[in-house]
Amino acid sequence: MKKQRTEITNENAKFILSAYRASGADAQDPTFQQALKQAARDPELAAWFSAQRDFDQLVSERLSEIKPPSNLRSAIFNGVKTAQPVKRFTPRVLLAIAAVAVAAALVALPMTMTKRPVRMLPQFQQDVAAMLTAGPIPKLDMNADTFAEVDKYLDQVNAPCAPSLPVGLQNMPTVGAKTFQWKGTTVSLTCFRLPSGKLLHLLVINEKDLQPFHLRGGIVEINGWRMKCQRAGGKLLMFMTRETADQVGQYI
Amino acid sequence: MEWSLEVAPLLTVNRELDLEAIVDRFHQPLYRFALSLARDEIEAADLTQQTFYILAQRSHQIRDHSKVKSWLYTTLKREYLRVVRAQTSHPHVEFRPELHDSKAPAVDAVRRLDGLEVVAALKQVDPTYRAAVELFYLGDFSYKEIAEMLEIPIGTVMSRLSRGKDQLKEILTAAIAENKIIPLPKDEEAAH
Repeated sequence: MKKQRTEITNENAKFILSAYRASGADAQDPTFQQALKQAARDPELAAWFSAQRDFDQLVSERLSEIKPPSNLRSAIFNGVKTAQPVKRFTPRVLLAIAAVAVAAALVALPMTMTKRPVRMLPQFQQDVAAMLTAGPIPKLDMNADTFAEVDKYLDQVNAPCAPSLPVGLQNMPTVGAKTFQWKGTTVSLTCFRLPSGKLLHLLVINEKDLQPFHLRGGIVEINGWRMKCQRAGGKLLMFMTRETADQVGQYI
Repeated sequence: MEWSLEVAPLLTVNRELDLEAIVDRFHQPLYRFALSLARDEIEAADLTQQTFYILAQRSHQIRDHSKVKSWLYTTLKREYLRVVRAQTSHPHVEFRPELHDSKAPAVDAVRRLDGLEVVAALKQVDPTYRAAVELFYLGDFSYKEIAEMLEIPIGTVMSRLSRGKDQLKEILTAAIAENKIIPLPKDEEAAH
């Protein structure tokens, strides 16, 4: 009977031990046993393995020092609470749902034609403030350094865009933009980066999509956001930032 | 089984996933993993949040509760790829044979870095090897788990870890030599 070969080369051992976790979690894994025995026998391999583990340990330690933003945990929970379980349906159930949906649409269509959703400016301001306060900045649809790029994008996706900007914002760099639906109508959000590093958000909605409203010239404060609204070319422009009222006045 | 100790507290008394316990346990390491993929902290936080949101939506579809951890990492990676699909350009890493055997300086290099700088170095590892190395360091996954998540053979995982780690050492060593990553204050440098 042939004696089973027990030795492996140091190169092979290094190859295998590269996958060995510094925490020792793999100590019982048979895959590593031969290489570990080899490291116990061979001083050169032992030195390499020791240095490798030191390196792995240090990298893991350094990485574990990174802490997420303090509000991330609460932001996750806010999202988790609003998440509705997604269910998978069989084709037969899907057909039944589709049939019910078509029937419901036929019944609801005349109603929706006569009854428009009520969209009030104060509600819009409240809802947007809540959206931006809930967690990190909403995921942008696109990134752009200039408003010209944003303007082009919003035009492409047929979303409302500011026909002109206040002088203080005309050369301000942007971060990007997104569009979203509010009560069945499209709203655009453009983010500007102020020299202080803080963001200034510009929300644009078609004026005709809102109930008639009177604009006050001053700055409104909601949930720590300073807001200022303007009319321009049939659009409502709403500027929002965490900056001070003085700063808002400087740019808008 | 080995994993049962870890999984048991993540389930409610009804044997359903305990989302609060899962968030508490994994949101920090998952954020670090996201940071290694994303461009900045905001995008990393966004990815982390989105991953848990998807978990909340689909928790009832996860049949093997022992796989929650790898499910989270895989989902986050998939979300990242979905978001940046065609936009990401991976930096090319030049192989530097003169640095290949300089293992000791790599350990010294890491000692002088902070976590974000190590992440920056990780991002420079060749994309072929990077995913395995990230899962190894940021997820503390075994080579078998990595093989399953990346859907590649175990031998390939070992090869990628071996080469990827070597490359990471080269990057760190070169960065120290060229003062690319960590410009230490002069007085501190003198003290070394």
